[in-house]
Amino acid sequence: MAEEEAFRRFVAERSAALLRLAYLLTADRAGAEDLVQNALVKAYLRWRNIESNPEAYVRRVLVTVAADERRRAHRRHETAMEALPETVDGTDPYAGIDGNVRLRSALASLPSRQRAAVVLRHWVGLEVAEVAELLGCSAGTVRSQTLRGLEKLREAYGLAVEGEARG
Amino acid sequence: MDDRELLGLLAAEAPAPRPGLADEVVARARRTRTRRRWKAAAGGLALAAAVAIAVPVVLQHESALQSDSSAAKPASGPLEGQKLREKSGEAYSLGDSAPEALASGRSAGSAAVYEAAIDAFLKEGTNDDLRKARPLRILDQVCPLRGECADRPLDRGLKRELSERMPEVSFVQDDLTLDLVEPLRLGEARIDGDKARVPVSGRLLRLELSRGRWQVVGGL
Repeated sequence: MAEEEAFRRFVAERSAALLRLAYLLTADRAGAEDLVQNALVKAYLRWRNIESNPEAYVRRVLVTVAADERRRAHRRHETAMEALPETVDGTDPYAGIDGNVRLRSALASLPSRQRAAVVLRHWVGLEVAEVAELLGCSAGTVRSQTLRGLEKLREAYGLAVEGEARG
Repeated sequence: MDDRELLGLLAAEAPAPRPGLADEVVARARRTRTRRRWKAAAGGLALAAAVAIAVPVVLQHESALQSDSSAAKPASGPLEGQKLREKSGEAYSLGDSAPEALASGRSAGSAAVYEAAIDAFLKEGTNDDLRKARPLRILDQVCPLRGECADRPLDRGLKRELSERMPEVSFVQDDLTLDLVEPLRLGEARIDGDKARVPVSGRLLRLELSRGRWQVVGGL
């Protein structure tokens, strides 16, 4: 019972942050909710072993599942595209209204591991080595992936700002 | 704007936690745990069932192999009658039956039912000749109450146990009439708790278990 209370407290205190992280990792609201719920179920089942640092465990589950692009694409029947789905040259009427639309699209268009590297390094604030360990790749890969991902996001946000200014 | 602020713009669009999230998670986790336990229990039962089936089959096969080797010696023994039967191919020892013979569904343990049924059948007045005949020939085929016998030998375990219980028995492959006596024909016994029914040479004998012994209560 005490364990369940501790778990419920953890969910109450940390679920909002976990949902934000899951949303950044998936760029999909419904996907983020599913991801967090699945990760929390796993955490509940292993609570006795992870009670000292449950957030690290849940974060690892979120990253592992979200980084598995093929599984996620299959579940959602979607395929990651290289090109952004919308442009700001007048074909996207919402681009001028919502400045985040292109940023969101840019995030969604990043390969899942690149997205995970950017989020873990610059949102969660992990060290390069920690990100490399979580993603199972080298520190050099983390650096290059983070750099490319951030470039795309900045570029997209800059265009959005420009489009917004024009609109 | 630094990188974290950039990502913060996106993070602000994340869904808020649903009010009953913890309840949903706990309920799902409990269902998962229960399902895992059932799966583990089912796996254990399946394993136990597999062992329960495999072990008797292996033991039966081993004992059949042993009886095959031991039966080879009496087959070349000095008994005249035995020699005659070997020559004519009329009778055969237990070990001579084909290894691929299908089990008739009776276990060797049902031999007690058959023994009681055969005894009662032989004591019946009209079967004097059959009772006196030596060896007592039993057709090695599963025979229904009516109609032709199936081209399927009797259960190997049943034959072995019947041979032990009734040394005068000999299993024959052909239903030839010798000295006006037909071989005994046995069908599949239906055993239901302490009641049983056994087809013997066109009669369905009803038996009951009483004080540890099977006794014929009808059908003669």
